Amino acid sequence: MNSRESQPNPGVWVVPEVSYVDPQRRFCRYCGRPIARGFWRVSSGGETWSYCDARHADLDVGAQPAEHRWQEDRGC
Amino acid sequence: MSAAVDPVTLTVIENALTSTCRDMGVTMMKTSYSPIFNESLDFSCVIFDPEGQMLAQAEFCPSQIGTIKFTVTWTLDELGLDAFEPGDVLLHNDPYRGSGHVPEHMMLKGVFWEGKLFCFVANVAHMSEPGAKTPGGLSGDATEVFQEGLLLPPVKIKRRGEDVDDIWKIILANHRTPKVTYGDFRAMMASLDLAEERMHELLATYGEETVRSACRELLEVAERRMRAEIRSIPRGVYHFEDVIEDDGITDRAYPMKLTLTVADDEVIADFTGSAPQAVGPVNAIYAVTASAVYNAVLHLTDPTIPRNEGCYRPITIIAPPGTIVNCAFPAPVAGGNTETSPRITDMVFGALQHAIPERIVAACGGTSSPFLFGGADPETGDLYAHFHFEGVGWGGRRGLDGNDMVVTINGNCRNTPVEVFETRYPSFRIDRYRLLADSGGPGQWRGGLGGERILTVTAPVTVSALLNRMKTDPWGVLTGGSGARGGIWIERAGSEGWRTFVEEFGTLSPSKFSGIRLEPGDRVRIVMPGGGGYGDPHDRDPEMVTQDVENGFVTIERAVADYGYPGEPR
Ligand SMILES: [Zn+2]
Repeated sequence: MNSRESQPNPGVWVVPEVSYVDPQRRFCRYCGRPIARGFWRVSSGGETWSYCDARHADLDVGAQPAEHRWQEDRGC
Repeated sequence: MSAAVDPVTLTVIENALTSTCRDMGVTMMKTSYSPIFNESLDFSCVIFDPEGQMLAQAEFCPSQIGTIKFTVTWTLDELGLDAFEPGDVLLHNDPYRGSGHVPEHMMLKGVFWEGKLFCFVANVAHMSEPGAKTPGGLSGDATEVFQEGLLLPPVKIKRRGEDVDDIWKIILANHRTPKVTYGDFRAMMASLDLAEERMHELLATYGEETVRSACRELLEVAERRMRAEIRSIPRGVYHFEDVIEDDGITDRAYPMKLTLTVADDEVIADFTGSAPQAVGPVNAIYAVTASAVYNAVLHLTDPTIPRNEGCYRPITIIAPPGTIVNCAFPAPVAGGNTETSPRITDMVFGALQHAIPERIVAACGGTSSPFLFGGADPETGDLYAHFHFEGVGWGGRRGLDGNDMVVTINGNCRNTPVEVFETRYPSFRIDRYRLLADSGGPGQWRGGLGGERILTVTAPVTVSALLNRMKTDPWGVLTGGSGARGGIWIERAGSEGWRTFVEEFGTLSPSKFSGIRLEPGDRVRIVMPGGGGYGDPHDRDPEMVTQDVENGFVTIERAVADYGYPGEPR
């Protein structure tokens, strides 16, 4: 899951600082994988989602654009 | 682009990488202190490239091998490659940073060649004492990961070849058995040093560019061959459900749902619809769930494919956060890696039973039967702790009965011999250890037998358990019958008759509890589940049924009822 090249979805690769004081626990919105640090961020319609990489963003948005598979966004 | 490596050199380098991993394991086995290392072999050894791609592994514990992919990549992502210097050794066991569960500690060392980072060598091992709320950890009634042991994010335990004393002090002060931890950690470090030496030899022999090209090519070969193998599975969407029977805290079951899509040359395992995460310690983190799926796919495909990152590329795992297959911090996770993991692997087989009946197996006993104990040695006063696990029956598969009493499918470990068990620990004498007749699920290919162990307490001891399959059956496939369930019972000194721990101690679960104090003369009976059967029992060769009866594997009563014994000879 190291595909970090630019893809059709409107995203950007983000590498935040790691904080032990205020740890951020993100999951990929497509596969659920916990994100260690860097992630593919997609902002659309006022919402921001996190993905392992651009490919997973493509699969998520492409597969079910209207309704997310888990019904709710848990942590992304 | 680099030049292609000739096939002979490629094979030599592939085998050199694999044998380096094997030698790392031998080093740990020969130099460690604890029986869980040197008898049970509950460890794994791997090599990664700087991008976090697994280059090689050896035949160790499948759940660890799949999970370490996530432990290593987390470490590299969190710290960045610039953090690594020659001689550094990283230590890490935090499940919410990709470790399988708290007792499993990973060590990682960068291998440098001509001043540049070439690869990483890593090992992961189950420490018999992780500083949990009860001896040995795996506390069956933990409600938070903090109760499962000392959490270590990726930290340097060696910096430029020198011990980082402060890290050592924190760990040794938190483990009940610091001498054992010290010895086992040193064994892990020796294993990394050996691997570093082997990699240097390889690089000196073939040159950096050739070894690098070979590694790249081996990844591609593995991916190409794995995709070809997946293409041989009929395309389709397959479903299977199973359940974790309770969690040590509540008496509710946790269903797991799998939708397995085989699409051309890819597999997508989607666990959407699985139960919310458990209160007790049966939750799998994402890496464990992924590892269990990898384990299944590797079982179903050509074993000669090089075992590296390329094998995993065609496999995608979807596991919704906050569920039993991808729990959220700070849920307890100990049993996710020992109990939920084999269940997930079996679910993949169950889903594919009609698509590739010639390759799948029925459910195995599906529990590592974790039985933890510890206390103070009455003679020396030294504290001790041990994670004891058992074999189970494996499922029948086409052409062969299931294995008898082999450690469950995610473990590939060995049990601790009775002599070692009794010599190393003062707390138990083993009175009985045997296979159990009729525990293998009936089938054309019978499920493997489970077993029974009876222990008598010889010194005051604190015990914990995290067993499964006491309430649900190891299922058969293709009309094969279920294997027998397992369990754990107690008979107090001076009384007669086996009672559950619920009856005797008021534990919340009969098979998941922690911190129960037993006294000399008490007896513990552990029963290990059998494997599920494969195919219709009436299709079993009557000669094999006769042999089963003669060997004591199946009683005459069950042979008559399940197999129509005596049948007509073929
Ligand atoms: Zn993802």
